Amino acid sequence: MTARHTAHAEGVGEGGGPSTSGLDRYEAVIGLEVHAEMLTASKIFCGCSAAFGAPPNGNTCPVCLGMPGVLPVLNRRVV
Amino acid sequence: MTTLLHELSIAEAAARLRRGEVSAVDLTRAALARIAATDPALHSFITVTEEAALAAASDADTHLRAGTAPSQLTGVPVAVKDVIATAGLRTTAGSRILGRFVPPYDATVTARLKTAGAVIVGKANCDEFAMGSSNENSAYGPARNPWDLARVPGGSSGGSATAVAAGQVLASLGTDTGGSIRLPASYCGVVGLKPTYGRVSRYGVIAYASSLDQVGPFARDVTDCALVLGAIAGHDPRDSTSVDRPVPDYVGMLGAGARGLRIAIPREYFVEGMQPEVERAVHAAVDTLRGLGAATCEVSLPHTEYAVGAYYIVATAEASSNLARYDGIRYGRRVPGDGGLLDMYRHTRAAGFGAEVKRRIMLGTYALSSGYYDAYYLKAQKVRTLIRRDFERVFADADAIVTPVAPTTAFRLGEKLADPLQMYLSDIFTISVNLAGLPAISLPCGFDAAGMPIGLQIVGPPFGEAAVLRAARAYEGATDWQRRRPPEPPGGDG
Repeated sequence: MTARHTAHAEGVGEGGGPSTSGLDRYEAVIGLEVHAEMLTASKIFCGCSAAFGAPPNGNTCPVCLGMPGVLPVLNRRVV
Repeated sequence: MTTLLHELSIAEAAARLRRGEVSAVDLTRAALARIAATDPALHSFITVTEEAALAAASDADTHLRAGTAPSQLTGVPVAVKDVIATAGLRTTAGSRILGRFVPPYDATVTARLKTAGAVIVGKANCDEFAMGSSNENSAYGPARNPWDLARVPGGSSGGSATAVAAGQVLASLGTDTGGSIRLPASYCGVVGLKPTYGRVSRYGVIAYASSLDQVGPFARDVTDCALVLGAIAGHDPRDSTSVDRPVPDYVGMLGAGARGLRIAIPREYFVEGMQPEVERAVHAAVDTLRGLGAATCEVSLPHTEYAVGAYYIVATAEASSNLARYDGIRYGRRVPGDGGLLDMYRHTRAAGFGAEVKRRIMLGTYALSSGYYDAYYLKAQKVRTLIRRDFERVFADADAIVTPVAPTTAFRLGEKLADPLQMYLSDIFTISVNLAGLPAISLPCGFDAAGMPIGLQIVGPPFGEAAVLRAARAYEGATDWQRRRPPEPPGGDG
């Protein structure tokens, strides 16, 4: 969640100005970040297995490592 | 005979390889020797890979002897721009921040070249992250124009162009986001083709501006250019923007001639202040094409003047996002600060990126920032649509559009460094083509009084590479510009 100054915030709070209540000075912008586990055999942006229990770094490739030059390909089953 | 190997076309080299007159190892040794001798002056390469090249050449010879060579490119020495990933071979993107980065994987175009049997001898110099028009933004120093070492080769794929022009390799790959194949091809007097967006996979190509970037070939003539395009084009499931559409036999379709082609000449591409010799050469080329039986007419692409502005919003916005990953954490250079994580990011990026990359990251971040998005990015996307529609209207009645590649021939090193805007205007005739996602070729169409090459641009409709190449081949066949060679570089032996 973030809050940003509204356009009329300038000069507010100087003596004799309009109300200095926080609600006048900020516009609430609310975003939700939702984490969900996909029930897919492979990862969401590459072909690596999404199975648990593999040796450390076993299910990785240049794409899920975010190597320079790679491109994500969206898992069809996720959409 | 060894001294002449660097003058062969791919088609000629392939014929000699098949006749057993020369081996792939001979050809590769000759290329490596020429690079060793001439690159101190030209600086086409950031990295040369002798051992891997000789091993690949030896494999190619085995196939050639057994009659199982996979393509005309088998055993042919080539260079790959250093923004294209090559497994086990350093890939710097012309930047300090990736100075020691060795990719564990091949870009799709790299893999396709290898499958075709081509021998990659090294990584070609380029502007940092492909941002530039002169190759002067390379963190490893600029490549030099073989026609005049005091002049720039053009950018950003400068080393890919100089390596072909000077006979260090027979062909090369570059990338083109706003003209980065066509401009250096024009400045160095070679043939360079930017394919339709989606024709060639971008997987493994270090991204500058993802909605504009395309990989394409450089070669010394149109036939070789068609040959390399055929090897790298085609659908790739690893790049969601690559299009699943059959790849035509580009070489087989070259001979159809210019008769019957409808060629449009846009009046907006002949502007005040352009070098008169360039204007004259392009008009003469149009006359030649008409003489070969093409129908020509003047047209208008009315939104051309907004292209440079729209490009520098879209490209920098995408760059600022693409380059956010270079934070010193997972790969590339890390410069520790003394104030924790954020300080480390700051020091890493301050030391790792050059001035032009920083300028574009800042421009792009500004264009995307809250409150400015609608005024800049959204507006630029709308301009982009108008530019695409301009082209669609013209291609309703035309097979190709012919223009100059750039308003001038190659300028001198340092001449435009102090004024980024002047530098950006070098791309005034190439940028619209990227915004519209179209294929376009640059091929030589003359020389100015100083002896510098002039480039002709032929633009096609989406997936119209075959028509572009056909028109280019017809023009090339009627002229002999592409047979001229630059002076022998210092260190060369003739």
